[in-house]
Amino acid sequence: MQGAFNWRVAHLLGIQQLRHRFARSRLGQTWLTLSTALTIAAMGGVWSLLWKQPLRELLPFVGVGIIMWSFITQVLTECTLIFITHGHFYRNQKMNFSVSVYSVIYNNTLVLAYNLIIVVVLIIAFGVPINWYQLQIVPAFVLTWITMAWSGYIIAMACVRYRDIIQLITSWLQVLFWVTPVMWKPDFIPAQYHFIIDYNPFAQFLNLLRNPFLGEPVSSHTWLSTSAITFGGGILALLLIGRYQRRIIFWI
Amino acid sequence: MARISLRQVVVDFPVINAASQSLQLRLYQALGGKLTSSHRTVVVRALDGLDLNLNDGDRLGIIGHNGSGKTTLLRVLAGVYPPSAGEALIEGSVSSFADMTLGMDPESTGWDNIIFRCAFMGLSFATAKKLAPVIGEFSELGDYLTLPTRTYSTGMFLRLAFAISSSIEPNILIMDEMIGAGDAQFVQKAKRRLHELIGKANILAIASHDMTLIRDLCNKVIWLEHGVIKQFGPPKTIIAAYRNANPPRDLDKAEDDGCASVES
Repeated sequence: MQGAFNWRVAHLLGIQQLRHRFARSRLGQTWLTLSTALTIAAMGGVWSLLWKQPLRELLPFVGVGIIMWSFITQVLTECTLIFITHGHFYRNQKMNFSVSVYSVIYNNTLVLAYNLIIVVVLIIAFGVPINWYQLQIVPAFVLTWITMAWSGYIIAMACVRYRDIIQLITSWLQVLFWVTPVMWKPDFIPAQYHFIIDYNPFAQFLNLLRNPFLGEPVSSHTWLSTSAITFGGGILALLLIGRYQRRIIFWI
Repeated sequence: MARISLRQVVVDFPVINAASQSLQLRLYQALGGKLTSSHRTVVVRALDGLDLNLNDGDRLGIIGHNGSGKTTLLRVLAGVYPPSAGEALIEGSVSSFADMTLGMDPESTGWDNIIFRCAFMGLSFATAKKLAPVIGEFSELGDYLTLPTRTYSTGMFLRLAFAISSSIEPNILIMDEMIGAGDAQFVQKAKRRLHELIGKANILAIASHDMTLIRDLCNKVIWLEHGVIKQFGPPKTIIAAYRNANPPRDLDKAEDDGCASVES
């Protein structure tokens, strides 16, 4: 947590990644928006044909879903390697390990900001209602950021100690993509299987981030479960971090 | 005011290999599987029960063979390695010259890198901007500063790194070998700056194979061997004892890893 005082370094490390990725490219960061837009258009189009659903209903849902899903999973995936990539900083200078995690979250929030242009286009093009529900975006992001901070730290710590977890997480996230309603709507599956949504934290956080943008309420089940994860998990994580953070440097 | 106090400091490095790093093995272990001793984590004790007290004005030289624990001790002093046992108390701002390029980015211009490096050293962006012109001038890089640093030669890059790293005055200065950067003329200038910095620091800790340097700079010397203090005392006595035990050979020169001493 003390890493927050070192926000300048987190900021620099965060934008550095963006800068490197698009260094000397003509379109630069616009590539982010362009490639996401293409994916959504292609997937949304095919999907609406497959499920025989009207495009105007499915595309905003799938579009916002893909953007939020990649925000969540990208943070977790990058955290698996972050202590290893930033290892030389920690070996040469006293720095709190959370700085790396913050830089990942910051970097991906910036990427998300670029992708929000697509969300705005979807909202306008498909006449998504604008209402008070959009205000839920603020608490939704606060909960998500907090959860990302502790879970990212735990993942980074576990991965630097047991390198197999890197592969484990990457493959799990791919599986989770299919059992989480990113590309399909919950009502596509029979009610007796809804437990894969109700008890799936990824589905709950996806609801939390997606519904407000679509002008829909976030269910109380989602609010409760995500808050419980955020704060309950956060306390557990702080205990774990407090216990093991002194050893991380020797694992790098 | 600066103070360093180490009490019975131990630093253990777990030697993590594929076996101990694998989750599968851990799971077997948790499930009651038997592990042969070769699978257990091997621990290397880099420092073993070190006591050390440094106060304002102390200039500590650290000598010893490669692998005797010099760099580990410096990293404990820099706060990088928390001791596995014992206590390390470090009061005062620390600046380590272990990696002068930390935080610098080859894709960005020299001017930007000045800001980046300063932020890594803990300065605010406003202070960094204020310092930038002075740093730029010291580096003697002129208009090159507007170019991405990837276009620099190694010597130029190090000159910039040195100019930035030496621009803030820490309470505790930590160095692994003496540093020099750039051509002969710049080396002289860098040396002067470094001596200024050392003069202003409350505490200096330097590890080196160069006995003349240690004798000139330090008032206390630690002779490390296998992670324990073999001898501690004033430079003259310790260096003489060290020389006695290790008569200078030509080979000693080659053994020195000569850390950050790069000249172009």
